[in-house]
Amino acid sequence: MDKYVAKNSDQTAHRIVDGEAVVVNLKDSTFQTLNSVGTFIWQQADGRTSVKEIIQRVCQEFEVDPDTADKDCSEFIGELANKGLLVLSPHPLEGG
Amino acid sequence: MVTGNRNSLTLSIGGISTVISSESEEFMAQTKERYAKFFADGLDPALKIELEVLAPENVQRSPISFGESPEVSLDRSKGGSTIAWHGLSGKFDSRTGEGKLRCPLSPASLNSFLRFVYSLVLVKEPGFLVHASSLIRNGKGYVFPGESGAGKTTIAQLSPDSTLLTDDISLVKIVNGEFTAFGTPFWGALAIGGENISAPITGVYFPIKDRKNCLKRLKPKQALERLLPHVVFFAKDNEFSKQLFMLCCDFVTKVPGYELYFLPQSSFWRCVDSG
Repeated sequence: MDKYVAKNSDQTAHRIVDGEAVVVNLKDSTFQTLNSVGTFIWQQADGRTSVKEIIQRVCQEFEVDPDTADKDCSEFIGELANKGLLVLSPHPLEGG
Repeated sequence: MVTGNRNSLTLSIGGISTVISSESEEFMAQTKERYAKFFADGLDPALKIELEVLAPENVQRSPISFGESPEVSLDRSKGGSTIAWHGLSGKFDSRTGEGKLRCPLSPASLNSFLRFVYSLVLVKEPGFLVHASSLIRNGKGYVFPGESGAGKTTIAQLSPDSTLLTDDISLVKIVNGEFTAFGTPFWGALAIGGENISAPITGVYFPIKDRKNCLKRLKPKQALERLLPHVVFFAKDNEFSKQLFMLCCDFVTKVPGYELYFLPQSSFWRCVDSG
């Protein structure tokens, strides 16, 4: 089932530096730097865009084949969600 | 300066003045000696810290540890931003700027508490503390962040033509739109406090001991990755942490960052100057 993705704004702070995102997890004071693809995904995570839509946009933007994009993006989004940086929901979310 | 039966003195660190008071004359005598370069009597203090010196038998009974990594709790619901630090049994209310500290007879206790207090109040300035040595050379500020053993003190020792701001904890603050380094009494292995002066920061250099002198320019993101682990901040509070993070982002965007590979010789300055 497709899910909507939002930044976990209560628990994170981020800034785009040199065109790439640096995300701080305020809960444990760790930070994560994202590459250009990760930054693109991070920017799309607005609560109104689903995982499938994000994968489609990644394919268009970076000329990646759909299977690879599906696998890599799903893993990446799942990883950030596990760390509490992103929130996944079956319904559109406010903010993000 | 004596107020009633209580000794007090005013310090100015990073342009923020703090009045320290205690009934223990012995403690105040130690404090006056340690902070001599940072006296600012006559200034209207922004912060007030009251000290109670614990008798040795009370220190021994205390279950509280005196480590370098204090546990900090922050309760905004009780009198605003009141922080209780369970290390030296200190409290600081960032709304009123007043703090109380119960500690053994040691200026190091006050030093730890001051680092804690300044890490909080600086964010509003805005500014921050960072594990770094810093120097002024030809009117320019140089900051060298790093963990223990990275070379902070070595850099300070190899810089006779410079004025020491600190060899351990640097104070960075925006003054007139410029990131500026201030001297601090927070010293490391040198055991010498910095001068109480400041200068706009011309660069941030991450020292790496090597067999050659070499300067490598960092992109702001790379500098941020290297800077963040060294920023001093005790309070686990989302709003404070966000402000501090954004400030660090501004810092690496405005101040050039470098990796400084250096020999234990003052010749590394030629490399820095050429950068």
